[in-house]
Amino acid sequence: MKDNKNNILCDHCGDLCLDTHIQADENDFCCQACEMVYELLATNGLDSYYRLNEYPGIQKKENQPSDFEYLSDPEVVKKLVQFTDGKVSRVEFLLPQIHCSSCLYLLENLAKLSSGVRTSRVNFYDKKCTIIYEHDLLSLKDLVALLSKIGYTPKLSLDELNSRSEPKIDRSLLYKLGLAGFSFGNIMLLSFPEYLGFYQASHHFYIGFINILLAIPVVFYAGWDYIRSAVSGIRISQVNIDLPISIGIAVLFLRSLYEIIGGVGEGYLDSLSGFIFFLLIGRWYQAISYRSIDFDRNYKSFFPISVQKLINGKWSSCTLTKLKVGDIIRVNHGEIIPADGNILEGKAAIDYSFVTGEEKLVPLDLGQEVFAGGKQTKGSIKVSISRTVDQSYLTKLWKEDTFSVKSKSTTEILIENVSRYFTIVILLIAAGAFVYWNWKDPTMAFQVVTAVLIVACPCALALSIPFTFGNMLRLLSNFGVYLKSTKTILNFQEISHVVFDKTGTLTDSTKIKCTYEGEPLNAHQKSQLLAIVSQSNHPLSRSIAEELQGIKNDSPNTTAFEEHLGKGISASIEGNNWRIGSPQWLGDDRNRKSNEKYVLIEYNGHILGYFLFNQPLRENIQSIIHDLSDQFELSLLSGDGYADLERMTNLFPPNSTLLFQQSPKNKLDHIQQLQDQGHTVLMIGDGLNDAGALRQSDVGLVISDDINNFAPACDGLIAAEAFVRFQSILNYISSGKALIYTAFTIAILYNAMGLYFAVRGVFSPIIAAILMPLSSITIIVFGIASSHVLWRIKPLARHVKARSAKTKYKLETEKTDKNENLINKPKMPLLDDNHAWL
Amino acid sequence: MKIIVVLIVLGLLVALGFLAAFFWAVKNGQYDDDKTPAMRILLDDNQSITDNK
Repeated sequence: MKDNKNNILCDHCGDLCLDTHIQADENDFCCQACEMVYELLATNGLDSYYRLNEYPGIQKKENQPSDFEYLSDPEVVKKLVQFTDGKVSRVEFLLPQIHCSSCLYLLENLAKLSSGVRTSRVNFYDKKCTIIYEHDLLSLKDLVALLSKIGYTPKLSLDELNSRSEPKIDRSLLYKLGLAGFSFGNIMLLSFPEYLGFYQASHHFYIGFINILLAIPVVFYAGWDYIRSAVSGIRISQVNIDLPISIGIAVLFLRSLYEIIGGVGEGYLDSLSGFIFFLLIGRWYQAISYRSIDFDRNYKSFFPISVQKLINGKWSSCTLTKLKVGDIIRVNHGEIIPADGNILEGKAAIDYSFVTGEEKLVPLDLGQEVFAGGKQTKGSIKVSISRTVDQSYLTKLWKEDTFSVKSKSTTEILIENVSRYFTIVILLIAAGAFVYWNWKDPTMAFQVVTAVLIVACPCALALSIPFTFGNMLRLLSNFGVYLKSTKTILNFQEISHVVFDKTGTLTDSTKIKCTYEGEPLNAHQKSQLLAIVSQSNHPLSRSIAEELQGIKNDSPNTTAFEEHLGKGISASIEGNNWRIGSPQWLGDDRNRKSNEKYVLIEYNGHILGYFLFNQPLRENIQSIIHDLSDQFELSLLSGDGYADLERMTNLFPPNSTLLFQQSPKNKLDHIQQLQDQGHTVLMIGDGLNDAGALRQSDVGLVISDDINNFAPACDGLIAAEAFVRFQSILNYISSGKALIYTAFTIAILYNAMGLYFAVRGVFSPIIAAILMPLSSITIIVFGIASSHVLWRIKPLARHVKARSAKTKYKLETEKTDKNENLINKPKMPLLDDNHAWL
Repeated sequence: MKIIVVLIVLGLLVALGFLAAFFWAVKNGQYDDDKTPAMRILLDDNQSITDNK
């Protein structure tokens, strides 16, 4: 299949087919791996996979774990498997790669790929797959290997290991909802003829009795949470919105009992059950607003499940939780160090970017300390554990008590006050009405007071937030912005200061730009260069390799390849001596500008040119910051040094605060300072090193290029593509305040109308039966409709993008353009002041 | 009009039956995932072009 530039795309994953292009059965594949999956599917009759979606396949990423040896450990198996009897076992995997109906199709037909699989069932929104398999025919390890083969490597981590084996699903809300709806409908059905006078006098009691029977479970089961919450609120002298709700429930029920048993009237049980029914709908709606982002994941989901431990001279798998001080473990290339320790053997070059934000590799000698969270990048090392996983520096950073509970936003306090005053005002009105009627006509007094208490239905207030904000959360999540809860939207309303992290947030870490400047290289030299850098795992080498990707790799023989930590690479190919490395090492400081990162290329003793590395800013960031500066004060907190000062100063408006070399604790302190000055802070960051600051800030957002990545301590995740429209997103969220106030006004109007009837003594059950459901429905419809309407008129909806295959495809074509630039046109002219030496 | 009593009782019994069915369905886990079945019904039983084993 070809794209619009006539490049050939892989029919499996949509990636560009370059030099490893393979053809089979009139299809094109970018690599052996994709072709193998195709074959596997075709032979087993599963090629509908390709018919359901375009490029449904998963691109093979570099760092997929291929070693599932630890799954042979029966202890690990026991923890992962949910259920097992003699023959079959059931296991649930998180497969973050699930993104389309082809995935659903393939995974639910897993049994066709292996006879050991009995059934498999996918939960699409949670991206989980539950598999029942015969463990004698197929081991857990083989099952995982099979999934990995077709591109769906399960995400297994320490977190999963420790979680309960049987998933706990709370279905009680559904039971309550069903019951309340049932009772509401039936009581209403029975009551209306009563209001309209169609029953004979003798029937009234029986009907009333049935109504009471239907209403009892509603009050004591479905509505009990509200009563319980109000009572516990009273115990700690706090008035929450459940108090007026409970008063309403109690008065409605008791007055109805009195009327029916006393033969005085028909009771208000239909309003009561309707009231509770709508409240429960609100709770249900909020619960289903969106799923599939688990904000409660902690650092444990970042660590692997087990490591290789040296026991009596042999290497075997050991689960992480069982590591003790003094154990010797082996950490291979690309693996995360799970606990603090000291290096016993091997060449350590640790990438701590996840912890500190620094990309520079830290070379360490024997005996030096390594910290949990770092990634080993050069061969394997042996580490002697000095602190268990729970006590490592990383964990302590996490558990620090200074990471406080968020303070309440002004809007939230306002809403609480409204609820509080609402109760007081209603009680005052009731008291006033009582006094008045007691003087005018005492028989009516009791009736009027209870009417007032009934009518003052706070359910409209209680419904406005779940439906308005709940719907906003849902619309935002479709767009790629995942907020933790409706409380987050409340906190957004008062933002006065925005803090940015630099690396990974303002800059796009997926696009390290590498440009070559110097003498143009011929094809032969380029392929030699590619051969050399392909052998190194240094991030800069990988970057160069990516730039040279279009080159045919002749695989020339590389001899004398040596990587000098902190300096560069030296190698020989076909008699040519290459050195690629830092300016200091190659002895050429002339171009040294302290704010640029570059490596020189030396060929047979002669410096040809250099590769300049730059992390480009995210798309649109200039205008985003410009727009933000109109409304908010801005700060930049970066863990990097001053290298980028110039670029950042140009980016931010003059009165912003720019701070560099900030440690995680520095960032946290700065935010706290701002809050002490009275600011409400929005922090935008990424990675673990911002965790403290994100938690401390009033709203902490993480920009993520992969939403399945670990997102610690944040209140929301923004997909990188959505961040481009950040200003619109912020506008939309800020309109939440106006929506809520409007909803409250509507609710108050309804209440006023009801009170008018109640105080005048003409409040009858039929009025209640009409008014109360009507007010609830109005609020619900208003909440949903207004959030939808605002979504459309703010210029956001037009740009909703699918976040899967299509986006991948777009990034790939961008890469092609970059290749052409590199090969044919050096960026700067050969002779100018900076390049006099060429 | 005495028949109304019978009708009401019958009506309630039927409604109770449905409520019980709803409770059973929830307990059976049918409401745990209400989005995936929507996608699942659109998948065909496969009839592929290549030969099956």
